[in-house]
Amino acid sequence: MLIITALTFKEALRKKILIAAIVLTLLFLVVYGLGLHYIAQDMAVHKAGFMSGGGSLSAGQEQAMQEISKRAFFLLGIYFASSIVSLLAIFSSIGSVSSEMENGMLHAIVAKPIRRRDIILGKFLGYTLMLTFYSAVLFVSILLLNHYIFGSRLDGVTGAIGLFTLQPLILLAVSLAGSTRLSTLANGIIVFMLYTVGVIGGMLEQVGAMPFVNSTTLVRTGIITSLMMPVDSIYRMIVTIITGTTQNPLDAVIIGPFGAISQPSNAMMIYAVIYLIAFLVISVRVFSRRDIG
Amino acid sequence: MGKAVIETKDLTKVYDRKTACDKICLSVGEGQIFGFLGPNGAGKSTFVKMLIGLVKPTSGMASLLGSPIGDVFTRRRIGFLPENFRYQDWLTGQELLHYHAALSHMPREVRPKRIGEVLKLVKLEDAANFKIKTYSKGMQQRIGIAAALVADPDLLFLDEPTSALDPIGRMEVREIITSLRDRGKTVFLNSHLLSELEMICDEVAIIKDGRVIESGTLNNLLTGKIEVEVTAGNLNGLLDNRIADFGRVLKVDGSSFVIELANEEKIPTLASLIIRSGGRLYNLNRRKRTLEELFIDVVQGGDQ
Ligand SMILES: Nc1ncnc2c1ncn2[C@@H]1O[C@H](COP(=O)(O)OP(=O)(O)OP(=O)(O)O)[C@@H](O)[C@H]1O
Ligand SMILES: [Mg+2]
Repeated sequence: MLIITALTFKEALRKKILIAAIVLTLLFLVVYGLGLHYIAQDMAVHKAGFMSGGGSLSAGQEQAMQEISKRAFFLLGIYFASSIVSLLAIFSSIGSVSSEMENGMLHAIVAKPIRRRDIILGKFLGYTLMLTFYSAVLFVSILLLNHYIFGSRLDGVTGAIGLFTLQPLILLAVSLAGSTRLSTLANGIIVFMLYTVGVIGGMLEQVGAMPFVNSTTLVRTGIITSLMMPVDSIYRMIVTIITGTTQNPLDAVIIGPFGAISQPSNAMMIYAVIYLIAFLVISVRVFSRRDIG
Repeated sequence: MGKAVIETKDLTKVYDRKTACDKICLSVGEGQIFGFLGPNGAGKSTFVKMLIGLVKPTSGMASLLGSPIGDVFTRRRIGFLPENFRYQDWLTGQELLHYHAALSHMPREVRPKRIGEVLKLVKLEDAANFKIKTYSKGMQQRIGIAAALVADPDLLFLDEPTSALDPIGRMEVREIITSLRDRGKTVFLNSHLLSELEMICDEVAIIKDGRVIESGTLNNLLTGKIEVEVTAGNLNGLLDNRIADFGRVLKVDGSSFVIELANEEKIPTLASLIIRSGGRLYNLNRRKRTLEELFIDVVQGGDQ
C-alpha cells in the first residue's frame, strides 16, 4: 500500500503538480496579504478624515465597524482558500483510477501481489498527505497574515485547522469513488456539479437565515445540499469558530453569504466524517469488483 | 511433462453481449512454453486477464501454481506483460523496475543487482536513467518485459511480447523465453507470429470465437498427418490411378505432387511403386506442416 502511496507522491512531483500548486498559492497569498495591508491603511486614513471633518464616532461604534471589516476580509480569505483546496482535491484525483484504467497503466499493477483495496487506500493516503499538508500550510498562512496585518486574535482559532484540512479530503473521497466507476470526464463533471450545488446551497441557507429574509425553505434547502455534499457546512463551522457565536446584526449585512448566520450542527460534522468514510468504502468495493481492461 | 501449473476448467467470460471465452479447459505443464493463438478478438487476452486477476470469470474454475486464481500470495511467483503495455512514464526505466520489484515483495537488498540483470537482458542499460516517456515503442515493450521478469517469476504471461520489436529484438526475446524454460519456468505466450511460436513452443492451443478448437504438442499437431512431396518424371498416368489409392493428392504441379499418406510405412511403398513403374524419382520429401498452415486450416475449416 505504501508503495502505491510513494508512486502517487512521485507522480505529483514529477508532473509538477505540487510545484504549480505551491507557486500559485504563494501568488494568492501575496495578493491577499497586499490587499489586507492596503485595506488596513485605508481604514486608518478614513478614520482620520472622518474625525477631522468634525464627525464623531463613539469608541464602541468605531470598534464595531473595524471588527466587522476585519472579520469580513478574514473570512473572505478563508473562503477563497477553501475553494482553492477543494478544487485542487477534485482536479488532482479526478482521473486517478479511471485514466490509468483507460490507458492500461493499471494492468501491470493490478497483476502484482497486492490487493486491490491497497491500491485504492494507497492512492487515497498519498493524496491525503499532500492535500493535508498543503491546506494546513495555506490555512496557517492566512491566519498569520490576518494576525500580523490586522492584529486579529488567533486563540481558539487554530483548532479550525483540522476542519479546514477535512474539506479537501471529502472531495477527494468522492472523486476517487467516482473515478473507479466513471470515465474521467463524466466524473469531473459530476463531482464539480456536486461541489457547486453544495456551495450554492450553503449560500442560500445563509441568505435564508438572515434576520430580514428568514426563510425556512432556504435554510432547509441548504441542509439538504449539505447532506449531499457536506464540504460547505464544514466551511460554515470554521467561520463559526473564527467569528464566535456573538450575533451582530451588521454581520449579516457585511459578511452575508460568506458568514455563518445559520450555524451547522456538530451532528453535521460527524455526518461529514461518515460521508468521507462511506465514499472510501465505495471506492474500495467498486474497484475490487470491477473488470479492468 | 511436469505437474500442471495452469489448469482451467470451463473458464468462461461473458461481456455484456459477447462471449469472449467459452468454457475453456486447458492444462499447461511446468517448464513448458505454451503458445496461445487465434484470430483477432478470439479471446486470448481475455483468457490471460482472467488468469492474472484483471477480469473476473463469469463461470468456471482455474488455478495457477496450484492455487485458485485471485490468490494474492501466488502472484509473487507470476509475471505479466499486458497487451497494451503502458507504464508510469514519468518514471525512469530503473525506477519503474524498482517499483515493480517492491510490489512483488522482493527483498530490498537484492533489488539493485536483479534490476541490473534484467536491464541487461532486455538491452536497456543505456536508457535505464531516462524517463520512460522518452522511450520508443519497442523500448517501452522491452521495459515491460523487464518489469514482468524482475521478480524472477516461475510462471510468466506474455501477451504479444514482440509486437513492437525489431527482428533482432524478437530473436532476443525468443532467447530470453527459451532460457527461462531451461531454468524450469513456464511461459504462456499469446502471439500472432506463428513462425516465432513454431520455433519455441512445446505446446499450443488455437482458439476461435472463445473456444479452443485445436490443442496439443507442436510435434503431434504438425506431424499428425503425413505429407510427402514428390518430384518424378515419366510417371505415365500413375498419378491418376495407382498413386491416388495411397491417399489424397493435395497438389499437382508439373512433375511434382504432394500427397497425404495414411501412415509412415506407406512412404517406402510409394517410392518403390514409382520406381517399379519406371518413374524417375528426383525428390521425395516428407513435409512437416507449418504452424501457419495448421492455423489457417483449423480457423478457416471451422467456417465451412
Ligand atoms: N471490456 C470489454 N467489454 C466488452 N467486450 C470486450 C471487452 N474486452 C474484450 N471484449 C470482447 O471480447 C472478445 C475477445 O477479446 P480479446 O481482447 O480477448 O481478443 P484477443 O484474442 O486478445 O484479440 P487480439 O488478437 O486482437 O488481441 C472480443 O470480441 C472483444 O470485442
Ligand atoms: Mg489480445
